[in-house]
Amino acid sequence: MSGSLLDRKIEAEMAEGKVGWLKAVRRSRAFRTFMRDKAAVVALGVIAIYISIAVVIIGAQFANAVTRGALSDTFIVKELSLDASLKRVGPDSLPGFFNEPKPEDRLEHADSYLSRIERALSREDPAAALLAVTDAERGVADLSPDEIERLLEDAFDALDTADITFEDVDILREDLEFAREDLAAATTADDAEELRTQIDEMTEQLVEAEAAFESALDGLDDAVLALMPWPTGFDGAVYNARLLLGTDSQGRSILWRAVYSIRVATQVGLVSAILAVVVGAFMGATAGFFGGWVDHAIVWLYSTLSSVPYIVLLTVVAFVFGSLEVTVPFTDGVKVSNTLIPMYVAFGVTFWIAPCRQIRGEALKIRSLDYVQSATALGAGRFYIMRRHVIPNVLFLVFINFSLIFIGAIKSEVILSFLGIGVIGQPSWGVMISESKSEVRNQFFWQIGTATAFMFGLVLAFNVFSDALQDACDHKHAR
Amino acid sequence: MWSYVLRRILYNIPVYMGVILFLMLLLRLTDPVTAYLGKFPTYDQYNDKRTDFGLDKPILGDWQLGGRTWTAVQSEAASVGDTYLAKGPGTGAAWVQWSIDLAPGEYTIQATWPSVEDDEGVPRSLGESGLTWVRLIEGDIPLRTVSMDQTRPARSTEIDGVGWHNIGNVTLSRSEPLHVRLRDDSSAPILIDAIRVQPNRVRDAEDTPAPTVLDADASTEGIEIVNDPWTVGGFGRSLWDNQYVAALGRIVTLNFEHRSWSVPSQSVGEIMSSSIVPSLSVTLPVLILTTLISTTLGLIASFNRGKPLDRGVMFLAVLGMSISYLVYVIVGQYFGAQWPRLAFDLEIFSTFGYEPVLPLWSDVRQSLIDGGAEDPGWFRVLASWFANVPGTLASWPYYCLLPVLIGVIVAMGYDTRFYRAVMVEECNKDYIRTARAKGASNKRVMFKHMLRNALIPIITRVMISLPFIIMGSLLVEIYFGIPGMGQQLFAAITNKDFPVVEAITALLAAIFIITNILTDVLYAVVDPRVTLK
Repeated sequence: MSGSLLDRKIEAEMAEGKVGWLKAVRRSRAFRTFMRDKAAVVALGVIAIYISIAVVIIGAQFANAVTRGALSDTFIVKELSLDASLKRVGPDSLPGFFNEPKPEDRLEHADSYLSRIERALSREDPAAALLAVTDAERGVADLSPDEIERLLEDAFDALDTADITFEDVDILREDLEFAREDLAAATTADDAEELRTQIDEMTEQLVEAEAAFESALDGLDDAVLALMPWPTGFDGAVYNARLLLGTDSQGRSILWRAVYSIRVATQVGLVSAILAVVVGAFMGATAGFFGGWVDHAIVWLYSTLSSVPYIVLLTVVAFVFGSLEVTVPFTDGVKVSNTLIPMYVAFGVTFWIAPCRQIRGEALKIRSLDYVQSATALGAGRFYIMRRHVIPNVLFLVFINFSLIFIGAIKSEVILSFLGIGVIGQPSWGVMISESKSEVRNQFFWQIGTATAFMFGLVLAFNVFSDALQDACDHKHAR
Repeated sequence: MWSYVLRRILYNIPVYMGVILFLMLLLRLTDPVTAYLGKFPTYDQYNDKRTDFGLDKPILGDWQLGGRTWTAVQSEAASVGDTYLAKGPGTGAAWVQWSIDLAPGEYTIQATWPSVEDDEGVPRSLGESGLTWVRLIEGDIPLRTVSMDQTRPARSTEIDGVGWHNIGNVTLSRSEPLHVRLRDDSSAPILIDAIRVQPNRVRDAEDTPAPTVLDADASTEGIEIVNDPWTVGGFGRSLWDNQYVAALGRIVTLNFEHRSWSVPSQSVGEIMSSSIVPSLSVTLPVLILTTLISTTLGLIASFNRGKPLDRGVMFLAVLGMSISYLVYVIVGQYFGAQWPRLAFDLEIFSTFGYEPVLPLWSDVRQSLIDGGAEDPGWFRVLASWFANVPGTLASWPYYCLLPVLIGVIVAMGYDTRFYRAVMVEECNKDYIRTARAKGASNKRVMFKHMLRNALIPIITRVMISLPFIIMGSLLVEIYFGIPGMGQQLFAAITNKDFPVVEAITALLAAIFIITNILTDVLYAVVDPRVTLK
């Protein structure tokens, strides 16, 4: 028991040409029910925001491609390009919101900056080599190589101090650990007492050493900042934005990657959903409406495909198409395996079954309804009935399936990317989540958190949206 | 009733045949042998693997393009002469051979074929993979067998506008003729336009002699064209002697004795049977727990329909559904297994690895033999096996409980929503209103009336998830290192272990269809309203 998107009365008025499509939809009960649901309207807004970001990204890249790279220096085009999300912008695994990294990491970051500058200075043309030492907007201070060298020496001194103080801390920590183990194993009260005083002493020493290490690190950071000053003005704002949510294990901006992934997700979702829904709706309507051997053939086809567990089908199809040595038509030698095409095929093959099955069932039911029977008796042709009664009545299934498949595609992308047969060579939420598995083991949650949050917004919006759509189109539960 | 069961079974036979056909065509889009061995296998490796699994047979009948005999194709695409020879893939029984008398010396052998680009009537559509084998023979001693990758046009060197592929150099020491033989044991069609013999250094000759071009034409001197005896005499290879029937036969007779390619010590059946228990040890508890918890939650939510409790549960379910499975696995592993270890030095769960949850039959038997029993009967082994169960089962929580918890959390959102919808549907039925009108208590309405009727969709859902139970949970198994069916299948896919991939997918599909039939039948048994039509 489900119904058309439009009410019969409006439908009739529309057929007479009194009202246009848009107005008819706006006046329909389903539309009104849907609009009453505040959460659904918000969800629709969220989806619109995501899709417009994706459109802007694709539009910028498209405009750049059409003008043969003339726009590639424009700020927007440059920042929305794939390169911007693959570029190193700072030290590895920097936490978001400018939180301080772990002391060990700070030491390592400073070390890597200093050695990069040192290497540049040892080149034949140090001035030019120094210019190449950049992390996005952050470059080496605008000083002569001699001055840089002097600053570098100071910085290395600071690094040595920090290293030594760190070693002290390390040794004390280890000793403390041993002492605690001894205490646990102590047999006599005297021993225990002695050990306890020892531990207290050591703890005090450790606090001191840690303070020394901390101040040495601060000194080191200042020295590095003198060499590579933090950008200011507009550049500074952009650079801060890049580091807002931290960097991944290769020093790439997590925020940039997450935003670029919107494009991949939208692309995967839209293409798979359109593909699956169009194929499914066509097959389902054909099967349900014509019946006979056409019906049998289509039912056989989808029963066959759905007899392979969905995750197996997805994996095998994505793998086989990913290993085909075929180039994409109309490009100069781009391998199919480096594109999203294997995923489209896998999702298309897997996801068309649900809309097909539902629309077939619905079409079968509609065909046997009284008013359709009477239309047939009145001499209405097959295609008239199809257009007039079947299609409007299954349209809501198309919309619901579209949004369900969109969700399915985005979520399956994560699994395929984890298995290494999904998105390759560009960032996506799936790629980000799977790359963060080693980061999580080191207690770094920024990448997985960001990717999950971005994905959560879109998927939740689609979930709420499809629920509201289902309620709006389901006459039985309509108030 | 029985006719209904029979009808369901009969209906599913063509479906299953379709599954096998689909999987077969899908897995053969690329040549399984070159996929496994890489681009440059030796002839023996290649041919062993190909015949090993019957991959030299036609996929489905005798339909392969190019046919089973060498055909001279008259075409513009031929750059030497106006014909070239073409043949479909075969068993190695058919060949074409050129013989040429050459003086001792060093020669370069080249070949040319119509390139894929100018394919006017060129039977290359299937030839996206596979190698063509050329055997070079001096007198009656084979010098070597070399592969030619015919998916690309021949163009190592270009002479007079013709692109030639360098097969290789040969040094002839005896004054015997050189035979260049093209064999048909390829997974792709074979095309040959001409062979070229380029002398490099010839002993006892003042000038280097001119190169010889041997056209692929029946009138060329020294050419010998041999066809597969099976197809030439008019009685072709049996219609049933193809890969499709062989695959169907293997699954119907449950013949899983084939050796795995990547782990030759194990047969396909051994791999599958050893991975079922690990899979089940995770998925079975997940199914039971999820069904119990989510039916209860669904029942409670539907009973408080529209109230804050219902809204809260449903909101949580949608939130849970909007987070990726992978995030649950990664974060769950960290907070379940790693964090307690770092923070409190507690070793609650394993992060990676597995120990058998049930004792292995062969281990039990071996330990009995080691213990002095000559040839323990199956009864003694069984008794000893049961005695060992508690010991091995004790390792279950350490390895499997965390994956189970993660699986339950992931599945709960979906299941709770589904069961709530089912219960809400039941709530609106007349019989509930009648029961209330009669004055039945809430508890009685909920458990006595509603739950019993809602059992039908619950049973259906549980039955539908049975194949996934055996399949295991791919992601969890890979991430936690549990050697279940999902992990084995994925390992086989990435290792291109063709026999294992084919067997596991076919078996999973078979289980899926059997549970489908069972569901239909059970449904009819449980619900008398279902007319057995």
